[in-house]
Amino acid sequence: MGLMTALLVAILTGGGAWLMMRKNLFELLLGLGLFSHGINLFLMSMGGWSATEEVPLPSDHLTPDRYADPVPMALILTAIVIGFGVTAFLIVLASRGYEETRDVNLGEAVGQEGEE
Amino acid sequence: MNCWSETILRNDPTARSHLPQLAMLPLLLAIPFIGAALCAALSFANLSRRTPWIITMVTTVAGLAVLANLTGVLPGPSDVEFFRPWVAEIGLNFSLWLDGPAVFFAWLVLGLGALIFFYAGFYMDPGDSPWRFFGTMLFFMGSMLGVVLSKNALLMFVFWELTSISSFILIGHWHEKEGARRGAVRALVVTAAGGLCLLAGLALLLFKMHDAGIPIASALEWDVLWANRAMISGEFWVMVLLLIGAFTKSAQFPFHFWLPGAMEAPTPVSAFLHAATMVKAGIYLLGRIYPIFSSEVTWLAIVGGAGVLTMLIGGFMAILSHDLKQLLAHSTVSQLGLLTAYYGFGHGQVGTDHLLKMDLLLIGSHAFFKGALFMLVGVIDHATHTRDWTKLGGLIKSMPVTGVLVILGCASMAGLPLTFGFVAKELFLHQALHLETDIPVLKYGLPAIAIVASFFTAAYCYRAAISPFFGKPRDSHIHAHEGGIGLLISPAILILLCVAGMWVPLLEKPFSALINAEFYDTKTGFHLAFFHHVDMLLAVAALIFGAGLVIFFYGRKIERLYAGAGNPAPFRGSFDVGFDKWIPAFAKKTVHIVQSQSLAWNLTLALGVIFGAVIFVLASTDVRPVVTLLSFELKLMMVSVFIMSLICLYVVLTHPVLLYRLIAMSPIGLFVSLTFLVYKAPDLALTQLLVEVVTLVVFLLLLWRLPQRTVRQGTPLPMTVLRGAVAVAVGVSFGLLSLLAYASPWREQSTLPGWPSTHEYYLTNTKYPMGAHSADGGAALAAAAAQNGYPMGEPARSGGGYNAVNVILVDFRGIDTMGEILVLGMAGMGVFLMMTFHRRRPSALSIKQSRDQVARLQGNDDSPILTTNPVIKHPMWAGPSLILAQTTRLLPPAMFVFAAVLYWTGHNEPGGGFIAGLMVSVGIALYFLAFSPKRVSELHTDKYLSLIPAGMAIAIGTGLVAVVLGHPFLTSAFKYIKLGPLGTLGLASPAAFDLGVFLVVVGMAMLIIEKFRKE
Repeated sequence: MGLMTALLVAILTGGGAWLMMRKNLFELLLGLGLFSHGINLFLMSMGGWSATEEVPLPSDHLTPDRYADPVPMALILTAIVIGFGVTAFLIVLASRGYEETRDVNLGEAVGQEGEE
Repeated sequence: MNCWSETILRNDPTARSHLPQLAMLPLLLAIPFIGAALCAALSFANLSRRTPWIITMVTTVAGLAVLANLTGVLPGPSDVEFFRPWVAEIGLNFSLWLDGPAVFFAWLVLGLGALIFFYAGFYMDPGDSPWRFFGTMLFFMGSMLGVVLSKNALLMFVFWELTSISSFILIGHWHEKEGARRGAVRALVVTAAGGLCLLAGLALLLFKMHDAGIPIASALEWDVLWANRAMISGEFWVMVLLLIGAFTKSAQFPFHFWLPGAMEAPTPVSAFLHAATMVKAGIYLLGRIYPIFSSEVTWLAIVGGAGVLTMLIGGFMAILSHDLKQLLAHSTVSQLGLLTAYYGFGHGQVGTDHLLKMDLLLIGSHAFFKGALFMLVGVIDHATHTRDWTKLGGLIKSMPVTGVLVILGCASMAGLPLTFGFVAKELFLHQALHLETDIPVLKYGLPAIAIVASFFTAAYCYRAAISPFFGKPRDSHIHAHEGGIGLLISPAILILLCVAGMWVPLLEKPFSALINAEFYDTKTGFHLAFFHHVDMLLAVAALIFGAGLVIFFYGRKIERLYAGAGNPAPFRGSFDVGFDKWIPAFAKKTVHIVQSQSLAWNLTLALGVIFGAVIFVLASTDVRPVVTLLSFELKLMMVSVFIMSLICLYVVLTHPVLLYRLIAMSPIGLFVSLTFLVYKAPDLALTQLLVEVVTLVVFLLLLWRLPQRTVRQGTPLPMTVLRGAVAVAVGVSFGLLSLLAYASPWREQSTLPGWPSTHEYYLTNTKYPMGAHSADGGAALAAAAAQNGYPMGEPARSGGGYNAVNVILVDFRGIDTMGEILVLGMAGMGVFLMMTFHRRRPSALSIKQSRDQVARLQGNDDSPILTTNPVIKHPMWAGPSLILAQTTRLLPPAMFVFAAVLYWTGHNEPGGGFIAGLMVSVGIALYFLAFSPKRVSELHTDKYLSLIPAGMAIAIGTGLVAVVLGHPFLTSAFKYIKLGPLGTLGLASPAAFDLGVFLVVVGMAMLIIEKFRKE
């Protein structure tokens, strides 16, 4: 389980990083999405896993160690929400930027300060 | 316990009688800073322009009084020390002492300071920013005192940097002049770079001391360093780094070029900082580390070598200078070289030979005559308005006092008998001729260079003493007059000290007292000789004076020869040019690399650096035990998830058509959601699923306006390789970190004994303390809690719900969630603003684009963009699918009901406000996809925009209610209401908070739909 998660984390973060380092605006968005997935899973793996654990809806007859760890879950939930807001914002920003510049390439075309 | 109680008194049984003195040492250091602060504060008041000078004099005299109180008027080392830990973890303590060199330098700084400040009062034009000038001078004096009084090497570094900064400000005092600005920047860059090396050297030293088992807290005290010198003397790189720090400060080759440039400063600054004190800080550091490293032969080679080369270059430059101040500047470089070489020549003599102990005498002699000569050149400048000796001549008639003083000063500089300089020169030559080495290059090469350099020294002394004062005036326009008494009194005192050969008995006592401290402690006294013995030294000295005379007479010829060689600015000049050319070029290049205009490149660099470091750390971590810990239980589902993710990822990374890449993104999100399920996190799975759907819809809306194919850019291969390597580094780092984390989950690590882990804490407090339940685990924990006194079981702490994740979100960590929905709201407002901004200012491009869109919608578009778009048209217009449309009539209402259930039960079951909000958003998005824009507009999405602020207001209001009731912000309250068949309703304040979250999410979705609908 840990190994499979780690592999998934590795390909998602690595692939996300690869796309983020490219100049295409759209690829940047895709890369950001992949990267967030990878990071969320990474957080999840920090909580550990065991086959016998229960969903963290604590009832009265089980001791705490029988439940999965709710802390990473809460963190990830927050991360997903923020990620959603930021992604939505970026998508509109991207579409707006493209309308202005007719260019999907980031970088040189965006900040033109010229030679000093 | 008063605050001085930590001060240590050594070797003094009558400590009590000294108690008032304990405060004296820090007071001594504080006095100049107080004066500087006073100057800064009063500069806004409308006071006489003489006031700062008066403040400065009073401050300096007060400092001298305190110092005299500590050391006696004929100074000797004092046992008083002051110690307070500052950042003991890195060996930084505020510890001051008054050993021999510290006393000597403190007297030098304060004494010369008093004389030079007095002179400055008459020299400086009172209208010339006196507050800034004298305030900075005092600030410098305090910093310099800090350097010499620090017993801790790191504390010395702190003050060391302060001297660099004040030097920068003072060199640039006349900042209207370009030369002053350039000189100031050059001095700052060189000395600050050296300061960084010094810091690196001290850090390395700290590590070495730690490795040797010395407690960090005291490792960088000078006496501790000396006591353990056997362990660190062999650390070559530590030595080199510390030496670079010393060499840059004291203008040693190859860093000598900044000092002549610093002479753009007003004369008092040159005399005080760049002749007498600040440039001696490097020499001082050499003296401090001399006992540690001088046993190494590399010490002799580097320190001795740099010293004699600097002597030679400085001397050569000095005889080429026409400007008397430049002549003195180069001579200072040369003399600093002599002092450095003196320490170098002391190789192999720690504790054996008495000669090295005379280093303070050399330093003092130089400070006296050089400080005086700078001031006298200032007097000449004042009187004649030129400092060019080729224009001056015969001044002895019009300026007799100045003339005599300059001649005496030069005599001391040249080392003529009966002067202080003579003793210094004797000591130096004696050292040079008695090197403790068998390496011929060093044993004969270094003294040879030193003696040749001394020829130039003698020559420039003749030049400065003879050329301006004798012969005929070369420029008839110059009408010289004697300087005022105020200008002459300070140099006169210093010159008197220089020719103090007659005062042997008087000087012997204080100097032998000083050198008896610590490492300078052979008990043998010494005798200063002011006349030659007839021996080899006499022969060498005679040779030097003779050769100097020859160079003096042929000076102009040498000059012409040199200029004829086509290089009018030797050494210093070429360094200047190199500095002015290469440093900015280097800076530009660096900025271009690390802060380029390309986001992609910046990101590549940042990720590369960060994850390069992570890999570096992981590579030295032994991960094998972790791997063996893992059970290789191949859950079939996870394996298939991984394989399918890999396939989708391949499409996302490589496919040229954007739509396919986007569609391949979706399953990845679903697989992540599945993984969350495996991890027993239904809330996450549900949220991820819904977010994925909404994101996909929004992405699709964006997509149709972007070019459909990624144009392959001609990225150069090395760039691609670099990106690939960085991406692999990122992936491997996170994969390995994930493994490491997985092997030791944080829940097992309770940081405080007796306290529960976070895992335990949240799970227990989520429900158990409600009391009505017979909780076995909870009871045990509650008992433990009562015993250990941690706040488990307080009603205000318990969430009153069954869903631990949601209780954490809306209750325990409510403020985090508050921040989260604020971010969401802000993102929504950003979307809204971009929308309205666009509406008000339609650019030519967007008008053209709207035309394109219309054309596209009408299907007769022939724009190039669409020709690269083989796949989709407007998603809303993809042809109303009958099935989708029919389903949509039924599905969204059901989804809205389901959303209500999710919201209702969120506190006890998977669900909650956020998930409910997303569910509603998906329902609306479904409408949007299934029906034409016209139909969607009937939903009046624009009317729901105010949902975001409303949601935020509810969330914040919930928190404020608690405040009004006298609890901390967002304190939760709940009450159970029995509702018969509907079960128990937990009427908790978090429910209201959750409502706020719900509204913000729905509002956000509405906004985005609004944005695209209007187009």
